[in-house]
Amino acid sequence: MRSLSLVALAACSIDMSQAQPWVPIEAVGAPLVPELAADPPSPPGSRGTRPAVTTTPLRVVTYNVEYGPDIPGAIGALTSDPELAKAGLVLVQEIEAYPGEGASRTAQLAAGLGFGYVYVPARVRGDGTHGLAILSAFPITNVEKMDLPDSAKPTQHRIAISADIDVDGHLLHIINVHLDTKLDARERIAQLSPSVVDAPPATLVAGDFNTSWIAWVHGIPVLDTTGASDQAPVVDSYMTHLGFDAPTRDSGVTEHMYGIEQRLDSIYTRDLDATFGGVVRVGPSDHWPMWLDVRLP
Amino acid sequence: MNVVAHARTGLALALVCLLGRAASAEPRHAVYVDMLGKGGLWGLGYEYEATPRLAFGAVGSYYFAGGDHHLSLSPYVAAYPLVRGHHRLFVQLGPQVVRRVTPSPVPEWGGMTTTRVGAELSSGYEYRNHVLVRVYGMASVGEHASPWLGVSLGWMR
Repeated sequence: MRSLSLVALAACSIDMSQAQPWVPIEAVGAPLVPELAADPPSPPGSRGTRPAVTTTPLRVVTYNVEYGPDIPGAIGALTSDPELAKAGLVLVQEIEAYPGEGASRTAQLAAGLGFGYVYVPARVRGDGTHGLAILSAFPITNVEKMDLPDSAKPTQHRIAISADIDVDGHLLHIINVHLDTKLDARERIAQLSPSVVDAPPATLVAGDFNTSWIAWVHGIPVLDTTGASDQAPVVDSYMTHLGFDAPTRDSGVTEHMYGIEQRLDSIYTRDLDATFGGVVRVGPSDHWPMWLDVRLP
Repeated sequence: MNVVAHARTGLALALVCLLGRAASAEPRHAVYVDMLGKGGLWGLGYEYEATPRLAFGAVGSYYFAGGDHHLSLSPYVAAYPLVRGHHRLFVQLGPQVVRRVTPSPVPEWGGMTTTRVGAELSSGYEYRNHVLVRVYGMASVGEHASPWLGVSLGWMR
């Protein structure tokens, strides 16, 4: 299937770079070396330092932290809201690390939650890096990174990361993605496809898909308020065509900026019993954290 | 007196006919290009002036972005609450129908077509004298709401 996708991408008129394969993070070198603390701190009698975390169901949160400059604010958002505080797995997008800050922002956030973590940089930014993270109350294994196809437009390099979360002996396969902002729907599917098309049957995919309702034409934003240009239903359609459920389809908006609100973030599940929870309007980011519950077999 | 009265009546009728001919000679059909405006990015419009205070028109637009095809049609009714010679203030109101076609870039999915309807309210300045020039602001409302701007340049016949 993957090779078919590559052939189709090459044949179509979209001007995008070639998709890359999944790579174990141990094979990723400087300057984008990932940071892994796979096991959460484990005081006796609790999961990490978060006794509220349960596995029946497992609560999953996706959260774009907008570079993460206010880690105490993000920790406060994830721990003060009673629904978010029950999360055992947090998929984070748009988080950064700078050498002058001591620990990476992911490490700081994980410490505040009492979770283990993996941080995978996508690109260099200033004297630091910018990337994705997984924070978990359960051991994180088999972490891989995929460099997603880049558009020929002036966009930023994007990645996806995958991992297996060992939840009391049940492996939950997850994929965390952050797609580019200035893509139109067809380019967005082309960028997303390589990371999900060959995913195992039971998989949870979450992240910031940047499914804007603004169309970008030669860098000019075209505001189509009818919703016809909304890309969220397009990604929903693509993922459901792959057999995923779209439990966050009716979540409402997840991002707010310049007075415009959009549904940019989603969670998709396949062969999993998932129930959408909500979007909680807290935290310092321009995105709001979204959560759902997954019942593992 | 009767002759004078008839002469006045005749003169009045002649004046009315002359004004009527002059009025009918005023161009009532306009074809114009919208930059930004009702089509979002650009549009091609036609307008018929039914009376000096009322007109009907429509703007169609098509553009291709990143592989997606966007087609829109925006019919409207226009009112002119203020007219001073060639200078006018106009208000336009009408629906907007937008159709977006996303061909699939991958073999595992068939693509998607979406059609939605919204409404647009525009108001601005117009200069009309065989050429048509408009500068306007507008509010577009559908599943979302947004302010927008437009400039029109066209010809009248």
